[in-house]
Amino acid sequence: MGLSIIGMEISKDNLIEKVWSGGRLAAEEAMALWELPLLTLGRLADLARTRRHPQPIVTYVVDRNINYTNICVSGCRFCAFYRPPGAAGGYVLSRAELRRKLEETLALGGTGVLLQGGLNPELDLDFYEDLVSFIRHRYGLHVHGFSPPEIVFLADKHSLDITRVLERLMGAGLGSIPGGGAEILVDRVRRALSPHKCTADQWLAVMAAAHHLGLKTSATMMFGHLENRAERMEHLLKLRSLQDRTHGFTAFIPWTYQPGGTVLGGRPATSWDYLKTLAVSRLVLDNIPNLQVSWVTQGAKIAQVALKFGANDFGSTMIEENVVAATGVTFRLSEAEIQRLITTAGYQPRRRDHVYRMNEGEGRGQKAPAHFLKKSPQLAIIARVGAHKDFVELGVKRLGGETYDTPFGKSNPVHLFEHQGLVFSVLSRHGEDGYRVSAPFVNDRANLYALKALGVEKILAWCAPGAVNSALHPGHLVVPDDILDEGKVGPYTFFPQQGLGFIRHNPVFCPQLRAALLSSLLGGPFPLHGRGVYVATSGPRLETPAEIRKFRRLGGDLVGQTLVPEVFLARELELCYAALCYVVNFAEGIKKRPFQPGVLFDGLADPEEMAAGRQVEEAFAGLILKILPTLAATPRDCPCPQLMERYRLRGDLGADWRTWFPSSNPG
Amino acid sequence: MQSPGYFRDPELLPIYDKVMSKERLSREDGLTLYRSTDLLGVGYLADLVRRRLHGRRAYYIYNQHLNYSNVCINGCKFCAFGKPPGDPQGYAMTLEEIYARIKERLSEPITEIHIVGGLHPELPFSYYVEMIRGIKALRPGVHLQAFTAVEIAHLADIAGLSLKDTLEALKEAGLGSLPGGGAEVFSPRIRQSLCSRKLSPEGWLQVAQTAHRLGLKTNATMLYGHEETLAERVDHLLRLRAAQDETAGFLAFIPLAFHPKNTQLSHLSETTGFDDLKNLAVARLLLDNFPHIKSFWIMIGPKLAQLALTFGADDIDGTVIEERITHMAGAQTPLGLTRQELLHLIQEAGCEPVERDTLYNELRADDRQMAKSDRR
Repeated sequence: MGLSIIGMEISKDNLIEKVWSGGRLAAEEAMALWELPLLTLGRLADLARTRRHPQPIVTYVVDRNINYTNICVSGCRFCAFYRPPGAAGGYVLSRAELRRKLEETLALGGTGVLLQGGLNPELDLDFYEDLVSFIRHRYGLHVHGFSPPEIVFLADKHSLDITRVLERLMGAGLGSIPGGGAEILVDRVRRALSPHKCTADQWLAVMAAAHHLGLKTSATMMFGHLENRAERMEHLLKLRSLQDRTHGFTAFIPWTYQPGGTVLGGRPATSWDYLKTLAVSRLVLDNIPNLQVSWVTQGAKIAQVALKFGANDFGSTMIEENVVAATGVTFRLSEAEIQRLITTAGYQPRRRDHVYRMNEGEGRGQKAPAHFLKKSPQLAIIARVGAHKDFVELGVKRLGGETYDTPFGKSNPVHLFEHQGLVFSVLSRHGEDGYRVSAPFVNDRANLYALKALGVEKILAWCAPGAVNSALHPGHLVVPDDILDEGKVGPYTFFPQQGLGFIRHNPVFCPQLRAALLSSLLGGPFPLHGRGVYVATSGPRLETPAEIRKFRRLGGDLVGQTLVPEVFLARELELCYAALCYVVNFAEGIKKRPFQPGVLFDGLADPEEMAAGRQVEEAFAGLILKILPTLAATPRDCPCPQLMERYRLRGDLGADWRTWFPSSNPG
Repeated sequence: MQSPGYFRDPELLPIYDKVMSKERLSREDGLTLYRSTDLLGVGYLADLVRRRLHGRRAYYIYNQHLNYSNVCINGCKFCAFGKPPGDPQGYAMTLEEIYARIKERLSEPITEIHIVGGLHPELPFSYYVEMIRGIKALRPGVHLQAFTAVEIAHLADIAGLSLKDTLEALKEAGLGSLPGGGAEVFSPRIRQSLCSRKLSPEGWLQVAQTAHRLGLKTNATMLYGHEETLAERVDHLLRLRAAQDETAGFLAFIPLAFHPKNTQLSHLSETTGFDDLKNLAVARLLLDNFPHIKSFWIMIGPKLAQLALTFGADDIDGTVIEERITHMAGAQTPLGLTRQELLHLIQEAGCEPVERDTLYNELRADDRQMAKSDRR
């Protein structure tokens, strides 16, 4: 059977054959897809979905929709949510209300917020930066915020270019950009629908700029109003072409215009049209990884059926939704209900983050070892001698502790604690009762292996270096951002015989964990330095004055014996790792200090400096408890979970990290 | 793409072969279809059969629903409608009230009046006979599809008549056919648990088959999505199929999705889209001797009813609204689609809308005019 498309004949069989073979569809071929029977089209989209996502997994995210204002100058004819400036019912979300929403989000296990609002002329870029920073740094939530019309509006308002606006928002903590406001990316339709909103080219320009800055974005399409099928296709092809250049789109989310309460009115698109459009999107957008169902507009039933029409993502739990609800269409789904819909459709539900990464350990089928407690720590503190005792003294609930046999030998004891529902582990590098193991002999590999096996994803390394930079004083806190490795010894890799581990170390410390650390320590009792180069020496001896002079010339700020090779090894296991240092003395030669026999550091630190260091030491456990929730809530949208991805793709390493080592049998 | 390319689930391939050679499907096939997560594969098989029987035709009807009473002595756990005798929310319409409802809509081209109610302990048999006779007098051209098998058995009890005599008396008064409700799931386990006082499966089938033998057509239903197993669904369908082999009087099968809200089973979840579509498709495939599979759009919503047209259903029932404005005058948004909206749903699904009467005769424009001429 032939399909007549704009004067040319495309055989239905040839079209199906082409999709089957996996080739890219040209525009006229893509247009012919509409003419296929619904089930055939669904089957082809399902094929494309399965090729891209062979695992029967459907992802979703736990987050909250926050609409910071409904005041908008855009006046789009399809919108029932906005109020023009000055009209009754307009609002800008108060801080108190925002705080309540964010706390609720955290309580529900949310990892981020979708932050969008109207084009409100009263709000300027400072407001946006404050808002983002507040959510990101005070609550540790990922901010998926501001669709392109909002960015263009801000750029115009401040006469800044788009890149500068994005940079400032990123500086404040913006994590990714939602694909809203795309409607149909054809100016004929936009002029009729939303004449005051940014043009198709502007929308694409914002996304291109965001992608170039490394911000991931999604893309949407609102259809079923004034557009025709050719215009829908133009929309898809524009996205495909941009994605070819930038690879910054994570997902595509088509949804149907809801006519209730809008100026435009009309009849809602049918489920038939929705599923066909979804399937066509999957087949045309061969370079956008994820396709999301819109249960908000379609309801739970059609959303579930949509999983067989190309979609692999169920969107968000939302917690609240205001824009579609304003049209009178309200569907609410709990996380449990989303899981049930996914499961009964024959898939496994998996939580993801805002850039579509599944929680590690879930997606890769890892499990905590069977011999371990029911509760698994997500965070580990590696600290000084007997560090766990400080937590016991503070009355923190101890769940247990033991040493583990690993393929790399016995680990140090790992102590498990639970504080306000959060489970974390504490490991002392140098021993439990006094400094028994000196720095060069710490079995970093066994310790890290044990932590990873327990389910740990993030490590906070606590250490006590000396100051090379004289601006850093004993008693100061430093969150180092780089390392100068000066002659450490010991195994530097988990893969000595496998030729692996050729991975980048910029940034060497996890940027997300560092940001969370800084934001949660700000305003605390100790002076805080947000950066510093840590010079690693092997020890156990302290350094010579000439060495310290050399380190200063090379740009070093701190000197210590602890973080290397620990941090390098942690990265090979794809763990997030950041260090919190407290300065204990000035390094050799920075200050003139006589030799004093019989005391720690032999007189390198004077009594006042020793006391300043001790103050921090005493505050250690309390400080950790304070920053723990923020560290735990920080999403892992950093490079860390994918440091070994190349080896996985190459087939050198399996999906389950436990298969990485020749004699893996920790149990 | 060869047809087997449609199947992701290889277990569907032997069933495909059977469907192509028009071989009757087994109990095991029914279970395989229900268990498969290959929704599109199951839908494709059902669509093959549906197209073989009805081509692109999709039926709808212009009907009026009447629920004369919600008072019911059965107390089924899955029911949000029935009220026990003495309950303040219980009602029973008088014959005058019923006639008034009919008169209200005489100007509309209604071809069927669909009447069901609870098992009222006190209303006499004459009430039911007069209801039918009176409506028929007001609207002679209309077809009366009234009283499920459960109600008929109850009326026979009240009247002290045999099923056959009861049905004959009602037929004489103007009864045209029986709706398919009250079948629930035939499994004795389920009936014991959910509706122990209800007419037994044997009794239900006996009423239906007695009606068939008197020349009265009936429908059949299955209430799914509560506590029943997949095997119990298959057995239900096979029992209907066996009965149809004997008396051939069933017109349509209508799977009914259980709605837990406001019932004693409110802890259960709503049915899913997969389940709704699969129940239609499996029914189409197993019930090879049933002419029609109906997806009742009022029950599953217009979105799923539209998809149902490619998952085995050939009928989406009716309750269309000829003109919306007058109906919108009430406070409530009407549960109705205009004829134009209904036609759009059907046509977009690649089907040809066919307005039917109760017995699936196609209505032409002049028939519709006749239906309207009932107006007094």
